[in-house]
Amino acid sequence: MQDGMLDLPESTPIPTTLLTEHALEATDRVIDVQAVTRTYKLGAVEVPALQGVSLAVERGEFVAIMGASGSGKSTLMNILGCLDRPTSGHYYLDGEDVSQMNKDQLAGVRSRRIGFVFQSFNLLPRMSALKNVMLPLAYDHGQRNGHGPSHEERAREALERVGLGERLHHRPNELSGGQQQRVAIARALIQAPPLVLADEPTGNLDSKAGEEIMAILSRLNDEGATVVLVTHEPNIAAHTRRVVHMHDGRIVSDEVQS
Amino acid sequence: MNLWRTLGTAWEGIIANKMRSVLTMLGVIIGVAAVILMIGVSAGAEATIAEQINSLGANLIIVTSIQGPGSTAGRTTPPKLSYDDAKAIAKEVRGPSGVAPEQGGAAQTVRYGTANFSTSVIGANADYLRVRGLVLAEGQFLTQQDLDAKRKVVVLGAQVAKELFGDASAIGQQINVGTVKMTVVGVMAEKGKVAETDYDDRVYVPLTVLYQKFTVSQMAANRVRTIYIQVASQEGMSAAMAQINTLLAARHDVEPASPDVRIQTQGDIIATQEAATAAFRDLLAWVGAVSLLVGGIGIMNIMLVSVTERTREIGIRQSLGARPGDIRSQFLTEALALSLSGGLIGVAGALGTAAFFGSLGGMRLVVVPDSVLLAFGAAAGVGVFFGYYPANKAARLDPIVALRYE
Repeated sequence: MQDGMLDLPESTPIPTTLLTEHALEATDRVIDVQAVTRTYKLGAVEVPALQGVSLAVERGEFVAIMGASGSGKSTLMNILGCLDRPTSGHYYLDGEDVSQMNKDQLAGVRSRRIGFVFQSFNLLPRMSALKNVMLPLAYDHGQRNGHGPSHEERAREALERVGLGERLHHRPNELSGGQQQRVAIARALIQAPPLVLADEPTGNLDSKAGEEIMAILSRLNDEGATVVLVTHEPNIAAHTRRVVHMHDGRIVSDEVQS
Repeated sequence: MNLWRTLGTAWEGIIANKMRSVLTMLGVIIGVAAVILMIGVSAGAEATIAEQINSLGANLIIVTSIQGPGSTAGRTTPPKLSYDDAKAIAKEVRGPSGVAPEQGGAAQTVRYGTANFSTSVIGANADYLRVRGLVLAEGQFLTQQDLDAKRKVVVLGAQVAKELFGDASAIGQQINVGTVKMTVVGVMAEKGKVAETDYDDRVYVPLTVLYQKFTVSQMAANRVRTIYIQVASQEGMSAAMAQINTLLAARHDVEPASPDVRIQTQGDIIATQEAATAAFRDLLAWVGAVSLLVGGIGIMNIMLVSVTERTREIGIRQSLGARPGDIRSQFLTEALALSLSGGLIGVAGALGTAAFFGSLGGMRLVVVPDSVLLAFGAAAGVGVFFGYYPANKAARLDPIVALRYE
């Protein structure tokens, strides 16, 4: 799975200056956020959601970001997921500065380098589990054709990894919440992205299903995936190895757990 | 995202809302059908007219009488056009390759043995057959000798021959036309009805015999209702028409600028008939255009609803790497799929309607392949034009907002 993670997409070349400058200090960082701020404009009022956040995550880490609502953790999550751009500062994802990319470039980064797992699963209701999992492949414009397994085989494999090999053709409404979230995880994994972002992945699940999901995420992390999790539940954060606390748009603590 | 997958996604969208999709398509369906039928009606009319040109004969000038100013207040002046005029035209006008006067007599009962049939008697000359582009089935047509000698010979229309003789040959047989015993010299080939004139239900006799035996009043003696003049070439038409006008004005003692006869070409006659179908065609053109417009607005409306309903889906697709262009093409394809499906149903509807009218045998409808392409193209254009705004709206959604949308 690690093979190919370092492959950079041909469509988005890295500016050489940024690469060298960055390469001096970074070794194997998947996330390197440097002094990022994000300010929203609500009419004439400027609301600072992030006030200078710096965070580095090495390859293979399992990190939880915690904080009350309004602490800025969702804003940080959006920026880490390339759904939003910082107002200032830099964000290097897998060695590439994505903070100034345009919409198309950001979409390309999302398709290849980030796997999302959402609180409400966000599966497309009209599609089977298999088709849902195949969806990111459809948007990968840099894809090389003709080699390796077909899209369907890859989707099947991904679903088997989360224990849903028997439910390939079920639609989301025919699956339990836990199963739906496993489909979402399979979808996040299909491109073997350097970064898996999970936003309250257990928030809509009962505790048993939640434990199952956390077990799967832990196992994926053991197999080498870098997982960043946003949660406000301490017992969920306890599954991770490092917990980052946020408050008022700043990181207030960053602890490695035993 | 490749085309087939985009089409597949679009099709799923249509299937998911069948009723709504069909209602949305209705405008396009009607529009496309109207466009095809409009062109079909006009093509049918053109085909009919082309046949009439052929049936009238090529390069034909048609001279008919118009009632002069003297016909008012109880005093009737019979039409002035005469057999002598026809002779004068043949003699003095340059260009004509044939001059065929025609006069109709009163309806007569024709009898052969016990069979009888009521038909109209037409007085004609030898040129008539060629100038009018008519065809004989058997025997021969009237000759100049028949006219000069006032021979009591008759040429039967196809239906008249069938009524009197069945399948037996009529040539050489004696029949009664009214009270006059006449010899059948020829039988016309079947021609049918052209522009309200039934060419099968008539008999031809020498013009001179008509004047002698079948003319009701002496006033009408020597008169003809129409003179058909065939001109050798298309180029000679206008010169011949001018000469005919001058000649007839002089003969009738009227000003050439206000003639007492109408001089037309077959084109003039066709134009009047074309006007009738043109009104219907224009109506259908408007129905088609308005329907396509309304259909397009319907598609835009439903696509806007769809974009709003599927904001969450758009957000999900964006999070999975869909670019603005991917989202735009997805919704554009969906609009296009709607309009093209509507177009397809419209084409089927038009073909069905054309077949139905064809079986009725009333109005003639010719489905032109190009019109199907045109209508289909118009439907596609409507889909793209009216689908673009909603598709662009979808493409510009902020992924964060779209993902949070409930």
